Amino acid sequence: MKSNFFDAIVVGTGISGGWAAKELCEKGLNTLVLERGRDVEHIVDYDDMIPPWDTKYRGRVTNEDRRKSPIQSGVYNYNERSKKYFVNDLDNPYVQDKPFEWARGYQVGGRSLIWGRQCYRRSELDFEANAKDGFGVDWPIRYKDIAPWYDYVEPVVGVSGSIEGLAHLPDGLFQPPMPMNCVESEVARRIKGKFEDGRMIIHGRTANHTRKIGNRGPCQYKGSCGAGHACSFGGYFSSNSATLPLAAKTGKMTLRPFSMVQEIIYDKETRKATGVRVVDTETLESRIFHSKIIFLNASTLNTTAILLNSISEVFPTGLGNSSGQLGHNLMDMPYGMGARGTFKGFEDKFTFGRRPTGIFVPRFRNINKATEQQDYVRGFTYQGGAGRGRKAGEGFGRGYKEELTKPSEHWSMAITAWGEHLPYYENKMYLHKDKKDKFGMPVICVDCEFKENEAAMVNDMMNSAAEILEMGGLKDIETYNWNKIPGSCIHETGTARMGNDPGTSVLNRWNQMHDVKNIFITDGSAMCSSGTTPGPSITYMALTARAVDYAVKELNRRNI
Amino acid sequence: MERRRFVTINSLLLGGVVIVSNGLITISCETNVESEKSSIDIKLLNELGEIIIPSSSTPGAKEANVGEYISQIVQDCFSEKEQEGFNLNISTINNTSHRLFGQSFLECTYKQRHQLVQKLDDSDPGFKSLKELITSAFLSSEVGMNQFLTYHQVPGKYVGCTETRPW
Repeated sequence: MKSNFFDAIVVGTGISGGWAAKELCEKGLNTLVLERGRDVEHIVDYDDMIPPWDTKYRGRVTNEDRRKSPIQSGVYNYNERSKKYFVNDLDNPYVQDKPFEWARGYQVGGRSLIWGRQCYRRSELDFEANAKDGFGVDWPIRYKDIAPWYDYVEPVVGVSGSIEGLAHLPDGLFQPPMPMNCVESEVARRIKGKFEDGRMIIHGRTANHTRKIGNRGPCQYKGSCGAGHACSFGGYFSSNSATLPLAAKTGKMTLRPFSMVQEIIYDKETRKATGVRVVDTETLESRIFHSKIIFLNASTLNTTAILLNSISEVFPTGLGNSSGQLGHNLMDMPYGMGARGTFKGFEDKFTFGRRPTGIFVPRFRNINKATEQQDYVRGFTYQGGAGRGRKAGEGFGRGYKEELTKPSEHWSMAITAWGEHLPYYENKMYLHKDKKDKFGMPVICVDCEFKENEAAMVNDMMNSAAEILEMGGLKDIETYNWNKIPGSCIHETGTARMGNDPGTSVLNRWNQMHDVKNIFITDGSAMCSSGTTPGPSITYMALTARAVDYAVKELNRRNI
Repeated sequence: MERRRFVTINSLLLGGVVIVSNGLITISCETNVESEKSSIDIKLLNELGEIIIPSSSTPGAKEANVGEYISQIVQDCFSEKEQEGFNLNISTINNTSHRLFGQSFLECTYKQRHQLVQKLDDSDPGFKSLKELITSAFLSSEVGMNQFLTYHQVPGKYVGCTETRPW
């Protein structure tokens, strides 16, 4: 075999690319895995074990960081140690037609190193939503199609969570949940059965392991994952901790860092892709690699950019864009509206350990006739938790110092909403016609906003949160809205959506391109809706495993 | 804030105006003055810190060397506006000291320093922000985090309800 011929190529090493690599390699395909950034080796390259006082700025962001990464430095878990997992914005510019915060991590593992780790299955409500209310195109799959694949990926991912028996938040194959603290348990108990719409508090479902999986974990409650510092104990799932090592173990994977895919090569005779053109991000040299099938997992905007940049006689507006939908229907999730309060009680109680998850309030709007809303469709969920810090202290001197060791007078608790963003054709990304980045790739332009339906939820998100806390016995309740712009939820999706009709969608029900049968896309770009519940990554993982299974069968049947 | 980011990134793309900070241009001729000033600030912050968080059965702010850390982050992490605010707060310490005792803070006796801090703590909002800065520098230092309090680098477990303080 020539060195630039492979059975399969995977573009990207984040959450979905790692899964594509693992599945393809385990099915025996010689697989080239391309990553535009540097290699990050599990454990070896992490610095999570350095005590916080031994870092120069003790976590702070510097003015130089803000200059080089004006956008990344505003991301919630960007800090002194995590910044190496975020891009330099100057080298990686994009145009914001409307404000759009685009968090990016270009390295082996991608954003799986710095993700939020919450994992929630989509329910039948999510898969039926577009067909029912008419926004976007109907999902070409239903819950029963993906359920076995959630079952397949969850034990490998290592999701901890509780079994609740809710139709609108399907249970999975979970490890034991991380415990609630005293205030969370008490508030959960107090609200149980009190709301007609079924509002309840359950354990957060997170890809942090409460049980060991091979040599991974269990979680040591260090808190480094939430801070974006990775984990030397492998206590949470990432491509680096799990899927890439499993792919490497097969001996079938060729991992190539510093390899930015700019274009897919299309052959109009066979009507298939023959390979990809890669630019070495260190030398800027171009090189072509060939394969029988291609999995695009470069993240929503970058996967779409590669297709839009792959122009041919047959596809003058981008590869696989016969529907004209490529780049459109971009979604994120509106979030950051909620309520906080203080709890009187448990003054003699504390928590020990830095738990990497919190509590979760499943969706309770528009789940049936009784919970139907007049002014918006779909819904939202809450994430949150209770906690207790130390006293601020007053005055100065020995007394002041002594005060600093005392706990705050009361516990406090907050819950924050994450809601659905409808698919709108006019929310889009496209390539700038002149500007290119330093690697020669046209710059991405983003034109995306929240509209009426998202705005109509905002007050309900705040008020319903306050009602939950009030029922739970909290005092001094205040509502808040962080006024987040699109992109800042880091759940960008939808620009190469699935669908049954090739006239209105880019991918079929197997994440296979309608127009080019040997291309599969299983990152966020494939989504038909954002879903009401956050934690989209577990769905990308399940769809990836499902698509690889189909692709390899089709390959063996000589259909592609 | 978001609007500003939007403008920033667009100007970069268009190869637009590049703003060079004055600091970069003037730094070469002011280096000596700057470094002298900063070593005085470090000393002042450590001595002031020791009044606010004195050594007791555990070390205080001076041993934690809060001055050096604060000086570092003021220089590298603070915005221009925050730097101005910080410098103003430091000036207030010395100005008040000159007014009350006819000498700088570092020239004052322990008793005078104590009187000065008492006065500012009651009246000056700028002092409050300096006190918070010193306190956070102390609590994030090895002394503060691991001698004054207890830090568990690898807790190994999560207990949601315990009577033992975790710090």
